[in-house]
Amino acid sequence: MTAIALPRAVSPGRIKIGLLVLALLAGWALPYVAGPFAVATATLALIYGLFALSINLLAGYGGLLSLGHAGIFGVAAYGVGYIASRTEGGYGAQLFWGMAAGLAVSLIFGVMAMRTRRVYFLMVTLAQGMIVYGLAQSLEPVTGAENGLTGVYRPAFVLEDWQFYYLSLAVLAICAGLIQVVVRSPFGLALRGLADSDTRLAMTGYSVVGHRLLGFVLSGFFASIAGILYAYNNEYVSPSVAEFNTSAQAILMIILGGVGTLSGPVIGAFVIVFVQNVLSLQIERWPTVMGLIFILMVLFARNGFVGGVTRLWNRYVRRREEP
Amino acid sequence: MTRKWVALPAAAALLVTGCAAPDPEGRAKAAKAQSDVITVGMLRPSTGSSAASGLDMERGWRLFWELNGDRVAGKRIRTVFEDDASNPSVGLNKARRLITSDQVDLMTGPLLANVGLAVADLVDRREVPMVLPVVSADDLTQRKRLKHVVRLAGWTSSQTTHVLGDYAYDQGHRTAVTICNDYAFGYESCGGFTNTFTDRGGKVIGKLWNPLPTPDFSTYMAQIRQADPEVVFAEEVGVDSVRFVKAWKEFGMDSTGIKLLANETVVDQAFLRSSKEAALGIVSAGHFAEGRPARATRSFVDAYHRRYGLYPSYYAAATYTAAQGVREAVAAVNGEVTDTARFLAALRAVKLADSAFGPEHLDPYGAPVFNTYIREVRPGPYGPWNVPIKTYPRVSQFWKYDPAEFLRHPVYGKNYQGDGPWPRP
Repeated sequence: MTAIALPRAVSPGRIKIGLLVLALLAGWALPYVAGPFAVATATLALIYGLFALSINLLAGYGGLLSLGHAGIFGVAAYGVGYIASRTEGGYGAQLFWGMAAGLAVSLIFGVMAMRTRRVYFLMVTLAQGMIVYGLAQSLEPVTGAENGLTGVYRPAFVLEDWQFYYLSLAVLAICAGLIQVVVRSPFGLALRGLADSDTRLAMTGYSVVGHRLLGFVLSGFFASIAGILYAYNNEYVSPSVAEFNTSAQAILMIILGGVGTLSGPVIGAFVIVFVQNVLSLQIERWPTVMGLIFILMVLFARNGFVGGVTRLWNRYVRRREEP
Repeated sequence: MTRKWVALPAAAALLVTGCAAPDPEGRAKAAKAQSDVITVGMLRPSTGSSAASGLDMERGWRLFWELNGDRVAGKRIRTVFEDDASNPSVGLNKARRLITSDQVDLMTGPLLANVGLAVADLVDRREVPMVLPVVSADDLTQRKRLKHVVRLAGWTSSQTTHVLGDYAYDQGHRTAVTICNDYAFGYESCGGFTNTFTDRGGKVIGKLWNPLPTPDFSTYMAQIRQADPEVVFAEEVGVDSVRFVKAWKEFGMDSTGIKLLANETVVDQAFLRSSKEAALGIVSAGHFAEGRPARATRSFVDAYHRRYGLYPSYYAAATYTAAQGVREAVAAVNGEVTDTARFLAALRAVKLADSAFGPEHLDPYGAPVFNTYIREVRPGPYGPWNVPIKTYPRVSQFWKYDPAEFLRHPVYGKNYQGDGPWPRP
């Protein structure tokens, strides 16, 4: 990623901006060229991409891998679902309570987990996720248990799938921008310091616990937005949103795309969602294909898709410069 | 340079949006304009926890069209199968695909109640007719019935267990323990039994709820022995059916004098294939009995065995019979299925003089009225099978209760099992 390795005419910053513009353009054009199913699937990928980004904020920069973020994602979705189906509240109330529930849970989770590290952090967050899943399964009056909550409907202006697609695209773009701001801020720098050595950070006078907690709540904020989008996209909320599988899948997206990058988790989300939904039509044993992709990635591109492409690009540029 | 980067995409975006709003679904609709094909979308799990039963659903459906030809009223019936992975979110996404991309005229499937509830809500809003041959969640044809959803060749969870509670009392049992899976299907199955059994004056002295799945039934067997009832009613499904049947045998429950009455899924062929001889002698209530000697059932069971080398499970019988009903409805509207209101009316009016299940018609709520068989597992031509020992004809989802009064009570749940003598049948 060093600037020295690149020819002077095109700076890496320019390339990144160019790629971003291309991606947005492709995103804009999709509903005009693709079929309805591709649009609906892409919407799902955008939402999972945002969810993966929220975990990545904590895992990729703060070095804290949460296995229970589906709990936050799920609680926000249930917040919307509960208000919509049980109290017949309007969209303002749905959004407010969805967000409030997601933030409250991430604050509680953060307080519980902020004093732990490494494998202990994994265990605490795993347990948090399981608690939400267990409650979703058993708190019948609130969550509808196994049968879930129906009666969540999209607002009129995003009723059609392609309209909702644009909404998801816009929300993802804004959130990705915000995450970039957070990562580049002094707080983001401290977050990265946490990952490298929290004792050293504590020595220099930073509050480790405070930074972890704020990082957790910020990450929970984005996970809640993803959960709310998910509830409206599906127009149905069931315990499967909060199950461990949802967290695990998002982590796979991050690993596949590239840990600690902004575009990686979104790319990973697109790959996984499309393999699940599109490739599964052609190949009955699509989980095997997924497994193969992962093995290949681990063997040849350990830093994920983005890391692998960057390495190839750097090698190509260097080769062009050398002779 | 920078200006170019901004100007180019802006110009392109203007160009595209200036023309028209994107309408991916409209394009799919236009592509499907040719109308000599009726497209049916079937959701069933082909991966995940209930993949084996999902395969039975596909086989039953395919077998009917193979045997009877796929042409009705000059139209060809084409089926698109989709995997819901036993997960409501995946199921919803696939259902959306079937509706928007494939523009299906009719939906059918799925297997699990939670997938069914999610998808039923979607099809109702998209105004696509749907038949539910397997999903048995009571409320889909009771308190939360939907205009576009018809339970053709289906059943409600408590429909057959209402009969069993009554039967248990007739057999002279006065005390019972119920054991059911700890989720909606279990609550509804147990509720049906408890309601009619206690109406007659029987007492339910213990209610056990085992999680799904339960790896070990020994504690439950001990609790049943401790309670020492005259009869046990059990609902289990999937691998729990097999484990329960084996545990009942291994713990020598038969020698204690406690009688076992089971719901349909404990000894359905889907699981009887694994329980085998351990299940011999178990009495259960079901709307399907593969050992029913009538011609309609015989010919289906034989054809299924010839084709797949197995007895059909109720999942296969359900989709086979649903196909039979769909064919009648399509013929009744002369192939004009795009007139949704007429097609739905035809689906609701389907009357099968006989079928793999027996004679069937639908009640005003869109739920079938059918024979309920008290069945016993006996040795059959290709291994153990369920033979009817008593038949209750024309059983409705409301048993003998007044529908309006029945619907004033909540749906059976863990906290509401219909104990005590309400409403007098």
